[in-house]
Amino acid sequence: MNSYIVQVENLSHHFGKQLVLDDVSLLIPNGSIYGFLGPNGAGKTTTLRLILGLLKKQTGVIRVFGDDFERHRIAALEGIGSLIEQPSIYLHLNARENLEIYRLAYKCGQKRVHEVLEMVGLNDVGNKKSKDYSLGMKQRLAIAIALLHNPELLILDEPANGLDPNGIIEMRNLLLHLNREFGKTILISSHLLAEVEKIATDVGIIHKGKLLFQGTLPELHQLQSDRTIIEIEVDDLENAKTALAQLFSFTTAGRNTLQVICNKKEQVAAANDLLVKQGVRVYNLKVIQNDLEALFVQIITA
Amino acid sequence: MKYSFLLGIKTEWLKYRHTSLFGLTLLIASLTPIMKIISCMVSDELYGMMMHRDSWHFFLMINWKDTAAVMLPMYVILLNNSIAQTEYRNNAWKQLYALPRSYADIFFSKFIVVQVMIIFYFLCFNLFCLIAAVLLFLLKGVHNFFQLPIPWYQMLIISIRVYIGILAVSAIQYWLSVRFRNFMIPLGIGLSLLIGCLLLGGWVKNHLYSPYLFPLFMFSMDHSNEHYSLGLMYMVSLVSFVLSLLSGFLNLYFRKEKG
Repeated sequence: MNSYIVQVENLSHHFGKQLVLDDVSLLIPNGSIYGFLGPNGAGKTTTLRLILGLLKKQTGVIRVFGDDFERHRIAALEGIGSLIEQPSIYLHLNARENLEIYRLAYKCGQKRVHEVLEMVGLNDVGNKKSKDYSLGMKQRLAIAIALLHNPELLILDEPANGLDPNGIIEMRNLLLHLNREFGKTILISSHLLAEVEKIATDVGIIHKGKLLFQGTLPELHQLQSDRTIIEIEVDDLENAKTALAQLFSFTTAGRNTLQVICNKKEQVAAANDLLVKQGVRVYNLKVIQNDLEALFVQIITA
Repeated sequence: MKYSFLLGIKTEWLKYRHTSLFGLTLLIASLTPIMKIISCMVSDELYGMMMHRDSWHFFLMINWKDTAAVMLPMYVILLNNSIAQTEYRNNAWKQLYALPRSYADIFFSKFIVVQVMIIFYFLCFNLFCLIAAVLLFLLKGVHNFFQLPIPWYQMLIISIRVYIGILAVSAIQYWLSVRFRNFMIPLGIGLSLLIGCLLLGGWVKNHLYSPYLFPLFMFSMDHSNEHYSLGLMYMVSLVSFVLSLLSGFLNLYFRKEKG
């Protein structure tokens, strides 16, 4: 089996004259939870819709389970469960009736309805009309639909949208359970890094249609520790600037304060050494913006 | 479980449980017979005509005329709108296209549901005509109804002819309803074409280009006196139907954005 369950190569897409995806390449490892991150309007949903065949591909290659998606659309979709944007639920039907519709389409046995309702914790309210569900329950029912045919790959577009904190934790635990216990590969998009970093094994960051980072979560953490911003308060600002100018990028942050970008943590000590050698007195040196959230912002605003 | 087109139709059929589709069908199918009962109750002239002519034939004709001209096309417009809007309202098109089903399966299985509902409408309408006749006998004493046999064969033939006449409209409206998210567009186009065709109908000799008039034409035309035969009308209706349905499918198939 191919080690990548989804391979996207050089995907570009226009809506009219607007370029919404620019040469995006994604590699989703088998068995991973792939967090697809980017601010609203970055191109996440467009990418996911292209992977599911809901948009006609313009340029690039999409392979799912090792096969070209366009040529093997039905076979590919048999192995994919999806939730794109809002849940697709027939509100006049109850959860069991909704699942029955999809069960016939996915050709799976009757007992799966009970199993997936159990899995998402909706067994007790399976006979209640879906229109009476809270948003969190609708979201869980949509995930039950996605899980119905026991797919290898789950594609979830912002599944935590509209959920309360408790719902987000439940969703996170469910996804971790599906990944660890059942070996599901999960491609999950979000605009919140904090939400994804708790479960993702791999991360892709997209902004304005361009993929800016792709790698494992440890690689992202490495990038984080490699890119630190420190704030230094000194007695002589001009002298400090002269000392740092050749080796560092910095900005003035106050009357006697500089913000310096360090690409490795050893550079923090090096910056301090340079200032001391230049005769600049350092009153305060602190690391700022080294969390992943800040790194995410740095990456997409770079 | 082996997937088949029949399973696709069942999948589509299940979506319309607990919807207003059945109520809508019963309501529109019953409107004309109810109106005719009221007309007969208040109009001595109509009552007299009913008593002196072949009551069954006359009663069926006055019911079918309004139904074929207005009620049935209107029902087909509303039916297609309701079926497509069930998917739009529930954000379900995208999930439907992300299922392992072919585009043809999705398109045609839903269209079969439309046809089943139209046939259900015909059954209801014929049944309501019979009930209306019983009521007229009980309320107004139109005893001719039970002196003559019920014209089952005539009812069947008219139903088949009008059904063939409505096929093209059902395909056009299905295409429009699936194509546009905004329900006002297929509704507006459908009603405009229906009213436009009805208004022009009296002035235009050639009705072969007015699919919205086909049901009326198939029902009412005295084919022995017309310059085109019933056979030609059947052919035109069926060709218009096939062309409209295929155009709708190809339009869906080649759409860049699905769902």
